[in-house]
Amino acid sequence: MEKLLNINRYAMYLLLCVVVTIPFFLPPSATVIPTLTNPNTQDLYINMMQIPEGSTVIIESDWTVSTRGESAGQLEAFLKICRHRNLKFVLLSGADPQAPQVALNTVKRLNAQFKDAGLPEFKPWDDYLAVGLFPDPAAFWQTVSANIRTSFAGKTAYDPAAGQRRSVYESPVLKNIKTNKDLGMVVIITASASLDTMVQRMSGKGTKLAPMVTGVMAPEAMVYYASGQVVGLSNGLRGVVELETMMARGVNYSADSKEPFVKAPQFPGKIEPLPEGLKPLDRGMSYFASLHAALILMILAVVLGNIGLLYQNRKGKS
Amino acid sequence: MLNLLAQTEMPPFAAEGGSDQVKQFALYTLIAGFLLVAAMSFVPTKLRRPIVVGATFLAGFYYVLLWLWPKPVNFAPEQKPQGSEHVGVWLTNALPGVSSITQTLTALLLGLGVYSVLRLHGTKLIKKQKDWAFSLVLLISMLTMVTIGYVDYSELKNNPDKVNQASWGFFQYAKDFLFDGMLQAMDAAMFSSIAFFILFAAYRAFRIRSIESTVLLATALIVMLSLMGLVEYALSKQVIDSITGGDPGHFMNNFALNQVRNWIQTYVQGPGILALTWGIGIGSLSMGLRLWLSLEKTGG
Repeated sequence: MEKLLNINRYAMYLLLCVVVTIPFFLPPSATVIPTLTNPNTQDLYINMMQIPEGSTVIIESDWTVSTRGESAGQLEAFLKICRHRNLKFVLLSGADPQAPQVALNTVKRLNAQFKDAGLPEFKPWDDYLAVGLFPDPAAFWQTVSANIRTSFAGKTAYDPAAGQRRSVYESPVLKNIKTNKDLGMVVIITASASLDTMVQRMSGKGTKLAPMVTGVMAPEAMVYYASGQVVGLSNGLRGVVELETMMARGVNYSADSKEPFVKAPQFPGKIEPLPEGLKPLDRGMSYFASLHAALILMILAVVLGNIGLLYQNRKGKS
Repeated sequence: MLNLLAQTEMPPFAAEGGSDQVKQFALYTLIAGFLLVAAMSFVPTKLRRPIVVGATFLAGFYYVLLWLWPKPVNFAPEQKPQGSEHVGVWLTNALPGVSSITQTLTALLLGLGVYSVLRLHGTKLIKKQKDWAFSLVLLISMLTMVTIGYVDYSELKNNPDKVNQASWGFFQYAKDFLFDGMLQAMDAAMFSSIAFFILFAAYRAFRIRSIESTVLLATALIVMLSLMGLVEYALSKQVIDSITGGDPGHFMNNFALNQVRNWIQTYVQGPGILALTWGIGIGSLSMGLRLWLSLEKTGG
């Protein structure tokens, strides 16, 4: 029994490596896990699906591949919603110099999927603008709330029709945006505390804020959801899976007369699942089985350690 | 000077990215910066502190005024201010200019980091200090990434068709290999190693030694179980539904795993974080005031 108190760390590392890796070799259908959706993710998705078609949204993408498991799924999910609702977006970063390229790689990856599915790709200038890194996001968001027509001053992008670089304000993405209230939504996908900066500058200024954060940042972000400063919240990998569940199954929706899988009592309407062309919606789900395996292993390790401790204590007393 | 910045579209000192005008501005600013630093070195030592204190105060004073000074409500950019509205509108209109300055200053911190790396590892290399070979690898890696990244950026800027892989040249493949193939993969590998340490730390540290640790362990267990969609689905949906018969008003619904987790998040975790944030906010305000007024002994 005392061995339970001194399990070799390398044995545990090997075990973790094995249990986390196995699900990647299983067919995708074998790793689909039924998941209940929480009100915060429901509110996020419902608000995203209610952005008027053709609107412009700003996406602050503040993650790099170190949190790919959570953040990539979040960005992909929202970009698929953008495609579905024909939303235009401004892509920027405020936390990490690597982040703009990582976000562009995600757009590129999705474009390849859209092309294969026969869907229109995101075109730079017409559908989106990548305006790069803002080293001081606090100052940037303050100008957005004061006068968005100055926030991207000096930024240019290549206009394929004109064959030259032009001010981003002349692009279809920002042409009709006069104030921050014209934005359909501001979405932040972050692995750090950059949500605080955004909420402090943009909350209560007439723009919907939608955070998608990593599991580590979730407790802090939850406070903003509880106070109503953000319209919803996607928390970590679980949040991605919940979004994908709603995208695949709809909200308050059932194809037959059965009970809907996702029931959102706070929402009177219903949202249909996304069309087949946008599937598969399994970026988060493909990692979810591994998360289960890792958490089960962690719980087992804690239980074993405590059984060993209990045994040692009893032995000491006797 | 701020009057000049009070524009609604583009601050007058700014120009479109990549234009000749912006390059001219960058050159003038660089020369002015060098002259300013050189001039500062001739300033008597006793005068330096008041200059630094004055500059710090003015920089902070703008944001304090912006925050506190009353501003006309729903003031459209095309409207002309009247009477006492002038100051509030002037402060608001100056924001893009001030924001551009802070963006540039913050961006310079990246340059400062690069300078620091070059200085530290360059010295190590030249003096052949211990582990100089690692410094050599670091500097070569950095210069390669900078060169390839910049050439790729320039080519993409002038020929956006190069975004498509079919049109890629050497520099696009090289950047893809270095950034996505190596840097990103190593970044992900480094971060994923945390999982191993978390597992072992949980095993070693999560021991029931007191009432407090028991409460902590029980809470962590509930949160961990609720993170697992399958477990939560089975316990909250299947088990509870079989007890309540699907009645949403049944008392036992309060004990569904997701409800317990939500209760912990809303009534235990949330207030705790709010209290922490409140404390941090008060501390930040106090620290901000001390820095703004140069009361910190090391601040000037």
